[in-house]
Amino acid sequence: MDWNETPAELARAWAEQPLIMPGQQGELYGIFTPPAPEAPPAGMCVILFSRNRWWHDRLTVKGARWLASRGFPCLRFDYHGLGESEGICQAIHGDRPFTEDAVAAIRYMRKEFGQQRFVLSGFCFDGRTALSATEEEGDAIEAVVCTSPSVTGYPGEPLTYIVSLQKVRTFLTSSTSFKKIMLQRALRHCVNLMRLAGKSRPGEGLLERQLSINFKRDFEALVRSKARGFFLQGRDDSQYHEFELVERFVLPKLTPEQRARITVEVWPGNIHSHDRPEVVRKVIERTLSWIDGCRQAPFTLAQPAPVPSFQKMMGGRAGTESDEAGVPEARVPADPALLRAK
Amino acid sequence: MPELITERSAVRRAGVGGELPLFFSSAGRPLYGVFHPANTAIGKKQVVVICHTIGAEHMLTQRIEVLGARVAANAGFAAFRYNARAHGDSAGEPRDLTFEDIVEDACAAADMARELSGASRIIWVGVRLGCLIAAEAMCRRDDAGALALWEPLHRGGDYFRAAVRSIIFAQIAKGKRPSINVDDMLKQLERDGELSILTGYVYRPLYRSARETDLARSLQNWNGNTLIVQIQRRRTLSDDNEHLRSTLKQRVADAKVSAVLISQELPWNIPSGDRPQWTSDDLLSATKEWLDGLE
Repeated sequence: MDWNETPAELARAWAEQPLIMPGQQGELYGIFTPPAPEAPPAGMCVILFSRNRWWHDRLTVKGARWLASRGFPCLRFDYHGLGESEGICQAIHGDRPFTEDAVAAIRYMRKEFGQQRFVLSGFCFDGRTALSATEEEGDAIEAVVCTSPSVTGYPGEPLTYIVSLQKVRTFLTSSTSFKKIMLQRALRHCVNLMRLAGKSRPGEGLLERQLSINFKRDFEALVRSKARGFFLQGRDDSQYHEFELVERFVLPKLTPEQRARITVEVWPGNIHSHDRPEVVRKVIERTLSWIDGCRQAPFTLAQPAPVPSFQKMMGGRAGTESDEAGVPEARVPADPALLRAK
Repeated sequence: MPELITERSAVRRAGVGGELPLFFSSAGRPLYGVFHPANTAIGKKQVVVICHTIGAEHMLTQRIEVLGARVAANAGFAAFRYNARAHGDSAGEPRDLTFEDIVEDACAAADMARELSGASRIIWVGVRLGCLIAAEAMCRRDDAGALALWEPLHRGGDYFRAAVRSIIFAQIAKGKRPSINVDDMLKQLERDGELSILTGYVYRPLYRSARETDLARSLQNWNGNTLIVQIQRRRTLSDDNEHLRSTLKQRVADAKVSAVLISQELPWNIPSGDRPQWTSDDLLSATKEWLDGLE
């Protein structure tokens, strides 16, 4: 992907329309990017979630214009209490997505712009918000991209990662002030664990109980909806450590047909990192390519082979484990029949 | 004169208090802006133009800009917010961006604000590096009515040093020992043409064109009503702010220079996705009080 602004993207920027949507807590401000008239219509409206709507290197702006130049109408908007939107945002909690804003955006695009099919995409909390809309709007959703979401109901590492070799090494070599921070974190984790142990969920052991009940509900809605799901993770991110609970307790319960609609891609290293914008760009490029693939050929991107644009992004070479956040590891069923199924 | 891209804006209706989000042109590119009409029956003769800061700081401060514009509108002043090229929802390529370009966009925004409001004079509000942008824009025009500086950066170089330092903070926060110091990183920026910082990049053209900018120098001919808001955890004005305040007061005997201290330490260059954007009732109240004293 060309990270410079291309003429096609500049043309989409000229065509953009500011809009104001009704939300539960007041008006939500957004930008609609109409599809390029010369591009074949994608037939799907992409809603790119972020806090605020151009947060983090303006990747949603770039993404909206790139997708629109390829035929996708796009929307980006500010959640309530953020950016320009009305309302008050008291706190952002990974397990409490802004579902009402997501649903309001879908309904507005349907009512005012005649959009019928939607692809929802977001990173971290925004991915959870995208996923959470499937409960109410699942029938209208074609695909959900949920990049590096937190899936536990509490902050902090899951049980299996509270103590790791890497953490011990970091602790031993770090400064006294950092040691204090680590000990404080460990104390908070212990409190979380005690709370967890005190709760009971029928049929679930302590490990499974770490999974957020909200996430499970939203994931089940995604499965029911027949929409495709794309989960992208970095192997060394705490979010992936949490997601391993999904791989262990949730994915195995899916039927082959359901499982075929869920793509999980795990990259080496970290992808959930503010201080490595080059990695975040690669992640966004991958998710945009995946969305683009939803239109071009359903399920082709669920296959293990990297798409051409992704190879190009990697400098045309095959990645190795030594590439941090370099190579996607697609986790999909091996049966090609399942890949074709829908 | 910038062109309002009305037919393309397709605004379905005005927002809070009649706010009008729109695109307008500057140097052949669409820039995003929002016009806030004055909410009171007696509209004032000046229009507020808010100059944002850049990079991660812009993410942190965008919400307070929005609220500040709404406060101004409620105080009887029309206000205009905008995103400079390669920022926010505007078009533009950050690799080629210079400080001159950003100042040019500020001037285009001021023209747009005057056209939409019918006002003849501008009240400039700058946020951090936006103070330097506003001050430079004022130098090139003759319609400045007043100036508010929200936690001003006094030298462009300070922005880049702080942005680069945040990388080191991020490494320390992860328990890593920084492998490179700020000066070496800035040399790297000079050499390579770009440097990754938290949530994005800085590019050499902007660094070179902005690092020598100086607030006191840009304001050397300014003698209008000025508000300096310091947002730092200290009980007195910083040396830079005190110097600016005393210089402005000495220049013109009856110069109205107000200074407000807000005791808060903000991680300007360190974005946090798990906190709402920063707002400050103290800053909004101080600005409203100052605006109430203007005509």
